[in-house]
Amino acid sequence: MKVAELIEKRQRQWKTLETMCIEGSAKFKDDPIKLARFSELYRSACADLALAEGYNFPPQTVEYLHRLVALAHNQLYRSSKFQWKKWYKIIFEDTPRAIFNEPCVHVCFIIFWGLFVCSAYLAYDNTIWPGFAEEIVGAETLETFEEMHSQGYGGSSPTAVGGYILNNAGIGLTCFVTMLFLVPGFERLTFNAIQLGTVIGYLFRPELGQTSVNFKTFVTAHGPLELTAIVLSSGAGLKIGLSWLITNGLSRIDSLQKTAREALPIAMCSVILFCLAALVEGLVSPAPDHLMPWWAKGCVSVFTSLMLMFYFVILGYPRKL
Amino acid sequence: MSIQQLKSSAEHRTLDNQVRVSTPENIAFQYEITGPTRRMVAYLADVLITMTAFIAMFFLLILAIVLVSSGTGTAMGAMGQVVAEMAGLLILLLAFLSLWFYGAYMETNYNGQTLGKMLTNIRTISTNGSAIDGIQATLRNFFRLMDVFPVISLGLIFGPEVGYIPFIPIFAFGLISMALSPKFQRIGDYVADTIVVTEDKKWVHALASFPDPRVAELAELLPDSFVVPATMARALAEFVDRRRVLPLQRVNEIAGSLARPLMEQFDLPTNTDPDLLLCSLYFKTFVSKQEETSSTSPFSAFEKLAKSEALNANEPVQGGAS
Repeated sequence: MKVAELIEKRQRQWKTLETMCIEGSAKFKDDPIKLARFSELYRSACADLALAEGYNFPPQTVEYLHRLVALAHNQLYRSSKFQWKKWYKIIFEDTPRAIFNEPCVHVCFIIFWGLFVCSAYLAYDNTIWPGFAEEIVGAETLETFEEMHSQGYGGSSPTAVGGYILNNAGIGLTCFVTMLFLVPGFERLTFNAIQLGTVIGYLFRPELGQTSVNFKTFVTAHGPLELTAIVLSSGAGLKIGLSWLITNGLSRIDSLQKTAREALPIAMCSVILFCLAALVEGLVSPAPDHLMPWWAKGCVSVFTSLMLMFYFVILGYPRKL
Repeated sequence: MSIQQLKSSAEHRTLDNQVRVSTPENIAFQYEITGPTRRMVAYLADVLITMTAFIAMFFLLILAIVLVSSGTGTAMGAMGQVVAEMAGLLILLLAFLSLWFYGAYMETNYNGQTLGKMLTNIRTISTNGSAIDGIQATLRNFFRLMDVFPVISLGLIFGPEVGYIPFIPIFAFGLISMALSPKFQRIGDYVADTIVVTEDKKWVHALASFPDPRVAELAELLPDSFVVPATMARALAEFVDRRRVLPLQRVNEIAGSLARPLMEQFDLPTNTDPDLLLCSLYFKTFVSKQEETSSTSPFSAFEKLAKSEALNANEPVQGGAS
């Protein structure tokens, strides 16, 4: 048989397969007859490619068959959809245990809280290091914060929730990503710890009067969620950043890829915490006293802290299989 | 290295912009790796689409705020305030989601493609050729942040009066990473173990036709016993495909290097047109050559395959289609 005739004979099938690929798998995935036809055409095209390569078909034809098989392959073997059961296991079983046992999270916890508490104390006390807050954050920034919290708050605002998610979760994910090269990630982590600690320490000073009281009632409810989220995102990032330096016998790339898959659920956990913190910060924290007094906000804080403890310690405690 | 090894390695070597993938059907096919330019076009298209959607939502928010201000102190005004608040929440949530999760969502649900990738016919796949999963899609899109670095503050260019916050991304990390990678992988691709491939939907080139009757005539004179080797068949097909766009002098120069030894082998006159000889050989090989119909014919397997299509339809599908 002539090569030209062979190509012409097969071309009709190739064209059908190509049309089905261009239409997309959505057109045939729920129709068993069409799906069987597609599979048959795909297998035929695979065989055609093998033979065309083996028996010296013109390169253009071989190249076309490569493209056709690749196109059909991507229609047949598609990315899997969202699986609730799988994600339930990841969120409530795998991730808390991974966090509980993760040394990188512990290191970031110590660094963040250590710097945060020290900065807050130095800014609050103002005697050990006079002018610490002004030197670190700047007098103008402190004045802006003071002004912001001096007049009370406009009440709960769903728009503010969106703003906090956009800003805070963005900061958390930036910490996570920039930890890949360690230095920028640590810069973000320490900057956030020192700046947040300094501002909070400064605004807690008793001499600020009503501003201090307002701020205390504002920050109480959402603090635990937000600060924990920063630690988690940095810890997940640090895990990835160290993976290409400490490879445990794998190649650098393999170690990076393996660790990135393990670290992503921790980073996603931090995003969820940021979103929860934003909900509390936008709806509970600015609520006026007659609707939600300080003790009620304190209860929210205690409740969220207990939930975090339950998630990280009770769910995260290692179990014997 | 022996000549056999050299030949073998040459046969298996692919161009540096191609990657070979083996499927569960036990066939290896090639993907064309997508370069930075096309990927940048896809990315810009995605940015344009998400920005347009975002701006449209923003105007809806403005409309909602106008509703509030026009009805202050009335029941309508109170409802408008709720609408404005919810619109504000929605738009900021959308901004967050489109900034961090647009690529992950699209690539997970649309088999490695975002809208920009659909427009430019490219697709993200795993480096082993399989479809990417949600974790890979999320990782590669998160780590895009590293690819845009370093960023230059507008304040450094136009002075402090414009402020230091607006940044221009340089994408240097991403470009350097792609330049160093044989598979054009940016940092996000390295982390997620993915590559981006081109899916051009080109139809097959038809076999060349020769209106000049001399081609068929000369083909008749070529000995039937001469079997064109695999590498020569490829060279012939490439030559015939490209000769149309080359000047005549260049065509003869290229054809001469292969045609001259063939003229000697076939006992043809030395003044035979080398271009004509190669075209005739192509004609004889791909267009007019009559293959043996016995089972030893190289195309016999092919013919059997054509006859066994009905059988193929009843075979179970290998691997897991989803």
